[in-house]
Amino acid sequence: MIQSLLQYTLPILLASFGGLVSDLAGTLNIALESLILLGAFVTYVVSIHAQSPLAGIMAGSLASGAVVLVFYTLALKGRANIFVTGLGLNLLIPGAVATASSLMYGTRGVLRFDNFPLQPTVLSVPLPLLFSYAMLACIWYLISASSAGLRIRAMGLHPHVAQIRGVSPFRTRIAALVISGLACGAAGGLLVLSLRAYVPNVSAGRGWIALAAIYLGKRRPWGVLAATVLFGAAELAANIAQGMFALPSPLFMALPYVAAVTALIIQGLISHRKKPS
Amino acid sequence: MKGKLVVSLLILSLTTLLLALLSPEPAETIVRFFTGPFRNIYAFGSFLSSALLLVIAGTGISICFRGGQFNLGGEGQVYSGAAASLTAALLLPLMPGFIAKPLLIAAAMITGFLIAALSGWLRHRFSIHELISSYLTSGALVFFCDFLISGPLRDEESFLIATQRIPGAYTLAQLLPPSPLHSGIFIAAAVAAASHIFLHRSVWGYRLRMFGEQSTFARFGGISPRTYRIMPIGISGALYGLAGAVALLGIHYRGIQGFTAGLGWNGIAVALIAGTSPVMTLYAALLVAYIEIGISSAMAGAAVTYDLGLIVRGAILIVVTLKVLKRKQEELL
Repeated sequence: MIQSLLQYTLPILLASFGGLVSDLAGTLNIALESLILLGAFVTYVVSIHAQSPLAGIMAGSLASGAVVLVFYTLALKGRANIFVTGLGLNLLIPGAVATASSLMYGTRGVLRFDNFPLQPTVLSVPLPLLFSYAMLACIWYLISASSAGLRIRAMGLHPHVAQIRGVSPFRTRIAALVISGLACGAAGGLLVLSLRAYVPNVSAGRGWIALAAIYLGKRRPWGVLAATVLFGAAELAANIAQGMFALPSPLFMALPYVAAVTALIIQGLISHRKKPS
Repeated sequence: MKGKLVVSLLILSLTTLLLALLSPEPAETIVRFFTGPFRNIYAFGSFLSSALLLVIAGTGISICFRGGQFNLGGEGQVYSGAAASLTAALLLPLMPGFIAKPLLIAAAMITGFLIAALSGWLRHRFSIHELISSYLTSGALVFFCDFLISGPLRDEESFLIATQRIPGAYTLAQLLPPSPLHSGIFIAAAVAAASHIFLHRSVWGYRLRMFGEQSTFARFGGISPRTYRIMPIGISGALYGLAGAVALLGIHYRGIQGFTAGLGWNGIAVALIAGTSPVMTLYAALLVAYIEIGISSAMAGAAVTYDLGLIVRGAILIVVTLKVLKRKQEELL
């Protein structure tokens, strides 16, 4: 039970932490959803070619990071609206991934591992999982205990003051955004490795749920952790309920979105009981 | 204007490049891309009928942007508007067309308005960013409408995942048979004209723009933040709903799973290319429709057509707000 809860929570948590870093820098990355998808696809491709899930998930993470680096550099240098750029990535990446899938494998559908590469383990924890934990720990340390984290926060809160204190806006923001890309890529990798297949639309709204979790967790690591556990538990419960009641599948797919909106509203009701904005 | 030309040329050359890369016969594909919408009456009518939907959707998003808000729920709002119209058409007793049409259109607009206004209200009441709440509600609604069309409303005898046709009296008149061009073009023209008058000649439009540019200043001027957090995004939702109803009554005549997909995102692309003016919305809608129809006629039958459409839509959004491409007065965001 705890293991499956972890399996549902971890990808959302990784994506959420990535998004949180970008949000703290004042440039929320709304392309989490498609960056998860990209990480998932690249993880599949590299895992098969290198016969190593660890190489796969690292490549997936790097691929999403690289895409963020290229497109958000363009956006920041060209002073574009970063929400619109993020939205553009959310359309462009699924198109590009499906095209790549057609060209490489002749299908836009499900890609299975014919023989799943062996997962080497350390103390019986698979290496890709260890990689994800390490990434989570690094991000947590970065935002709550490091001076780089302080610079990122300063850039988000008071960009002008930070700039006068010698913090480069471009470098700080692009670094925060690239971290969000790396985290989402790893999240996608985890999804593929735990499903043992690449499924189109494997991200299934998790990037957006992760964004909701940032707000729900009030932009604090513990809060975000709690929010993602909540969403992970909701997903797990929905899957168990699906097994018992056989809900029509479109309604079942709507559940995570409904859960996210409901959670946001409930949190709003609790924290804004008196004061209207 | 110069900036828009640069953006348009950039987008067209990107699309051409992608087509050339992905096609087995690049030369022929590119010729078909550029001549596609003018190949025959049918293609030309399809081109205009998708452009008119984009005018309606894009105008709504322009108003939303001017009010300083961002509506990412277009996909769900168009689809829900169409589904509301469809449900009313199939379930209510048969009525004469002149009563039914306004009723069905109103049902769609109210549905779209309520969905989008919810996000505006959440922003006002609980400071939940409308960017996230509008996407999440829309995500849920897309699946709900899929459920309606594939479940309770489905026509069991059809091979498609589709509903029965709506009664013939409810459809919009065809203007250029056999093409799908229909009298919705007058609705689009009316929407464009009315939105210009609303934004620039009415006190509400003035307040909306003021609130969008400087909400604190507007509040000191006695402008209700609640009204102007709900109104811009609500109007965009209502017009998205209208676009859904027009697509149903003018083109498809029945609900097909996913039949309005893409309209929500393209509406945003149109509004961003157009900047602010309604005249430019017409231009941007024609451009985006040209590209969509061009791609589908260039890649006819190929599996990657849909993906290519996505890539081009994404590329448009990525380049369109780059400030290096435009002059200051054209900036919208």
